Amino acid sequence: MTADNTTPTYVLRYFDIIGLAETSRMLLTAAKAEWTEEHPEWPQEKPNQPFGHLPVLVEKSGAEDEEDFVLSESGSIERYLARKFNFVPTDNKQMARHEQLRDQHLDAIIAFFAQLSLVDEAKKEKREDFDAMLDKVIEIHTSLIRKNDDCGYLFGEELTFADMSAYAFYKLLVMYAVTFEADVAPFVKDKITPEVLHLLRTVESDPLLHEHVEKKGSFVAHILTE
Amino acid sequence: MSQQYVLRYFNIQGLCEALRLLLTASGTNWTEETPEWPREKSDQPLGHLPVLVESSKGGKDDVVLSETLVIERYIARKYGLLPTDILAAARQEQLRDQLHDVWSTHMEFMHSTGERSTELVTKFEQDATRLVSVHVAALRRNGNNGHYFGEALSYVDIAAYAFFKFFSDAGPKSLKAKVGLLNYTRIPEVSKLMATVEASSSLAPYFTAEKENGARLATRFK
Repeated sequence: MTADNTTPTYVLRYFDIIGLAETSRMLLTAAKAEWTEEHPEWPQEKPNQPFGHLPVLVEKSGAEDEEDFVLSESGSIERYLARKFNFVPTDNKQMARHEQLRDQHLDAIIAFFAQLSLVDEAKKEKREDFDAMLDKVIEIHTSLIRKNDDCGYLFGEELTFADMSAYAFYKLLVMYAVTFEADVAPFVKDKITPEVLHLLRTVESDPLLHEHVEKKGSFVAHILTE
Repeated sequence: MSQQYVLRYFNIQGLCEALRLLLTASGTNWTEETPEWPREKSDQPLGHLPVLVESSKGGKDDVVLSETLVIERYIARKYGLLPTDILAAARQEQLRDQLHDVWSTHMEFMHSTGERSTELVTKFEQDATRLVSVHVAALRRNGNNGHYFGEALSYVDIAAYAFFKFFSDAGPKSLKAKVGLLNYTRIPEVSKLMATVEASSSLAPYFTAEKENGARLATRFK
């Protein structure tokens, strides 16, 4: 078979928000994959999604007789793209370090959202959980940047999954979580260390993400001008 | 080089039963420790448990990992319980992630109050119903042979076993009817899976120990 279009194309289904899809958007763009985004009518299209949730990634092979590969669960989607497009090492231990960071980012984000619906003492306690997790994440990012000769990436000398996940983490808190509780934006911004800022600048100025930043705007500029 | 693992966690099912099963299935040398809590909280890399410590023959600590699902996937990949093909791996991982989501919703419910509680019961019901239909379809697609994929024990078989076992108790009153959605004795394909996993020779040490470890497995809803 001499198909000249054996390169897959992608559709990312999600809401038109930063939410849980930003890392996947960055991965697809940095991979130079051919991809588009769909914003399904919600909740009308909920039953049409494999797991009843978004995001969903559809990989179309381009071959006529091949079924699309449909993937749910944001973590699984991110890891699939990261591995496919070589944004994580193939070594099991090193890959685990990237994944561990990503899951840690998500834990902190979940903790923030979990405290939104609580009140009084319960809210205070849960908010403290979030604060502690945020501090830990920043501490780890800062330490990794320093250990990596302050080159601006978390691991190695090129853009990786961990870098994109970290960028999306800060962006989500400062630009999306803020729509739920205004004080979280200045709270997070105040805690950003020079090393973390270096990471954000480095990610944003990486040529692989030029198109992403053009489309979405500069998060670094947003932090520095408010 | 013989690997040795130490799993640090509390003596409850909590987040770790699938991991305990995976470590057993791997055939590797592993033990468990229960740190003094919260005294040893700050000694953990991310200030929480579980933590997996891997040390090589020389006794040096090679790897210290946190985050339950990361640890699970690390062990599963290392010992051939998760395919190396990324597409095949993603198919397993999405199913496992879905199990974790529903379990997390249940855990959030246990700590919630008021309106949020009511929301979570609805969410749990919707997501558990969806989960059952997705998992039954997967088991059927594989010929209802007691495995999600292929013919050998794999990552998602083990994670699903731990999940359905966890929910095989009646659970707290307000969630009772909804937890019943996950009662595997009423789902033939899942019953078959459970029996197949229980009959796996690589898991025999776990089930033997379970008879002695009844205390931990009885505290399901902690």
